[in-house]
Amino acid sequence: MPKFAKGDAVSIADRSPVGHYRMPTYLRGKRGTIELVIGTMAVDNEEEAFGRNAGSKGHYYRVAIPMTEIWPDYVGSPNDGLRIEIFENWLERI
Amino acid sequence: MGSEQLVRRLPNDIGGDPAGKIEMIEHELLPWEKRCHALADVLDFHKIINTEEKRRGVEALGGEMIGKLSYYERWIVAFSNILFQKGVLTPGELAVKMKEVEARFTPNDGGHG
Repeated sequence: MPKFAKGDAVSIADRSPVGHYRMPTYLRGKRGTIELVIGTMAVDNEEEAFGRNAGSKGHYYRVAIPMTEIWPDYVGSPNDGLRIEIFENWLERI
Repeated sequence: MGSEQLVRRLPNDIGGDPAGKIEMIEHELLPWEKRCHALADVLDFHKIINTEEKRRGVEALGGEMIGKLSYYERWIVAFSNILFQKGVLTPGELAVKMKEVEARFTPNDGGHG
């Protein structure tokens, strides 16, 4: 079962892996909403990057983040936002 | 930038950095670039180098190379490094093969040797 469901409020973990990561620095610690649970489970890309093609799998989620969450001085439409697909182990429930 | 950031931040993690306008330019793929892409698919299909390993290989080139090499140049150099790391090829073997291919090349035949 996916850990999160559509509509769940989540926070992106604020941690700093060394060597390889798939979570841009500027989004760490930001809050968003699960917009879509990606149906097919996948290997964590951060493990795949070291040649692991199989192993423990998890879900990716498309997360919607308001622009104002990322750039507090954003002056565009309040409906503007960013969509990014994030692996389960980077997300925390809020 | 503190030394800690050098370790924690990948050279291609540039989201949010100050920058100018992005120039969008159409680029017709060159024959070698198409072959490079096909090679990537073959390496992935045979589970020799997956897409994520390739991305990590590009990051590992460092900021200067990422900034100065073209898109497919980054791929092909990353592939070489990963194949060396995995023991599939040695730098010496690649150098010998490149010399052999270069010797077949005549400038007037379009480079297909």
